[in-house]
Amino acid sequence: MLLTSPAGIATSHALRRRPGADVGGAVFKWLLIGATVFATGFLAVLLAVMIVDGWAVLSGNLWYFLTHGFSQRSAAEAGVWQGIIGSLQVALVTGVFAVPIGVATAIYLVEYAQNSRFARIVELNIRNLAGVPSIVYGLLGLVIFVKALEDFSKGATVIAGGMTLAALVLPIIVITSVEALKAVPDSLREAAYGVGATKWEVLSRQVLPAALSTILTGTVLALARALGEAAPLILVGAATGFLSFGDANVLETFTGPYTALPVLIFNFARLPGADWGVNAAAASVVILVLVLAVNGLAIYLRNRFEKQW
Amino acid sequence: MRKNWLTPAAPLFALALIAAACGGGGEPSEAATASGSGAAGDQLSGSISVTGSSTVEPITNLLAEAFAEAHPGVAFSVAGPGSGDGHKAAAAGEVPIWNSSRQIKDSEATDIDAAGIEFIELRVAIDGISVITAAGNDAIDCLSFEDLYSLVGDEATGFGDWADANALNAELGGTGPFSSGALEIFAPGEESGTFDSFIEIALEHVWEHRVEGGHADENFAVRPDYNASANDNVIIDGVSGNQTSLGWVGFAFADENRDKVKLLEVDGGDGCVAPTAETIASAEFPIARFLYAYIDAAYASDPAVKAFVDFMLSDEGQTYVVDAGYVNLSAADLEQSRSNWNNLTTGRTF
Repeated sequence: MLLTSPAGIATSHALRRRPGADVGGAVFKWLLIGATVFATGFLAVLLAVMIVDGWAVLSGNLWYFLTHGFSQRSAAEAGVWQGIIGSLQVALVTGVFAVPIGVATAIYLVEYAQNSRFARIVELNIRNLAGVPSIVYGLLGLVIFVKALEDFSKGATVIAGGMTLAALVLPIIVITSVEALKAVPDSLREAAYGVGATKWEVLSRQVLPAALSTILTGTVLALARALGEAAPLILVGAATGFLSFGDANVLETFTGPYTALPVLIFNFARLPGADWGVNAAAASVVILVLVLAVNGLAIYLRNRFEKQW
Repeated sequence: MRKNWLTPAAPLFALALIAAACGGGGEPSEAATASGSGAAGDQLSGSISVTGSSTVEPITNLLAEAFAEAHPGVAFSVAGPGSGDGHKAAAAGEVPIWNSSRQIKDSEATDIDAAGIEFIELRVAIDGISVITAAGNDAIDCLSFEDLYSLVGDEATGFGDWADANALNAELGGTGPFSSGALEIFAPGEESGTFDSFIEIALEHVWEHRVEGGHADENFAVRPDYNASANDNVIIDGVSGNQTSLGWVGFAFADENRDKVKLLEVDGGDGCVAPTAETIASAEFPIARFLYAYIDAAYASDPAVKAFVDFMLSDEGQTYVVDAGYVNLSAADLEQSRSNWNNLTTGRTF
């Protein structure tokens, strides 16, 4: 009886449709393939252009380029050493400030405030903050971290630059961490509560470990974004010209002048003369390799600690 | 589960350690570079930061590089956000030296004064720009600012012949009409400081007037259809290769190529003046401006700052002005700068 019902006939009729008749699906599929090819092709062209433009430096004196500081004398004498160090130092400070605050905010929003009106307003604002142009964070950094908090940051230093970028990536870390925590199934929490675990035990032993790989991936990607920022750093006083550390030790360089790879690229690109353009392209390749390494770390973390539900 | 809790964070700690280790690696490398250049037994330490004009930044970079080799213990940083930013940073304090491609404005001096900071004003160099044509071009000798705007301003877009500019030139009250001849323009690209300087000194006045009158675009002072090059040699070759061409480059470079290009006289409102080292140093030539360095008087006793400014005003230091493509001060101006510095004369003195 059931098999001869009208509904059953309709279903079997649909199942008998020839596969080739799905025109909409085929068009959509090829649109998607086209978009993917365009996106990756664009990246490949960009990469190829940078490598070709920077080839004179990359193939010739790459080691010199990587191990020497900026020089105004000639493009051939200028290197990106200080930019690599500065970028890593700034990223370190960014991580130290942004990760604990960002993850803690996310835990509060998801696990404690849950769906309260306050939490929804905060989350909405954080999502809006993620779309604010980076130069605005530069202005914020100049007023707050360089000037208002001068006793702590010592002015236009690595600390001030790192804190500015921390403010910049904080929304990204909060959002990815919120999504990661929301993705942890409630059944896990309920099971833990069911066997008598306290809220602290549920969070520290079950929810956080389960969400950690996604949180880490988001965090590392946010740091990669920070590595590529030039505009806010220039605004908060990264050196665009000559830079030397004098007899400062490692710790002192954190409260001293600095530069970063994107700032150096900006500087190389504005200097007149084709050979400076070669330096800019080569430095772009260097920062790309650095960011790829960081993203590679993110992929490794995700694969290594990913949880399947 | 409990074991997994910390292990994923390990690579982050590793990254932190690498960053710290790299930071440490910088020191021996810096020291090695310095000792390699033969500096021996220098005990000077401290830190110097210079900000302000991006036009003056190349001179400061060259000076700083030579200075750092002689005094490896001094930490040095140079930035070039712009003249106005330099004066603002000075008013906020903590800047020992800031550069400016123009003299400090009254409002800026007032702000700095209000912050309780006294500054010492030094002229360090001259930014002079030559308007050039091919060496054999006898059709033209002198151009006024109005002429220049009618030939290279945004409103001149599309003019392929000098005669095309005649209507605009007459409207502006220029010295035309020009006789017919192909108008090929070669000049530095937008990224060049010379491009900005040329607009600020030669075109801005006429251009702003035209913008107010609703004739010109407020975003573009220079016509887009010219041959832009970052390489001064390309500009010289382009100008010398076209009999009726027009272009502009830094004076020092044009002066070295007088066999290929003709340096035109320019009328800035007080008659035609030929560009020579003397007329530029005396600021008689209209497309020239003084470049300044300002020192916070409170830092004048700082051994590192004192040694650097001494070096900047020394005969050796002044050679870097030419290396950076600018023109040396007249003897009188250099003497005035040295005297301001040695006597710690504060306030505007030029």
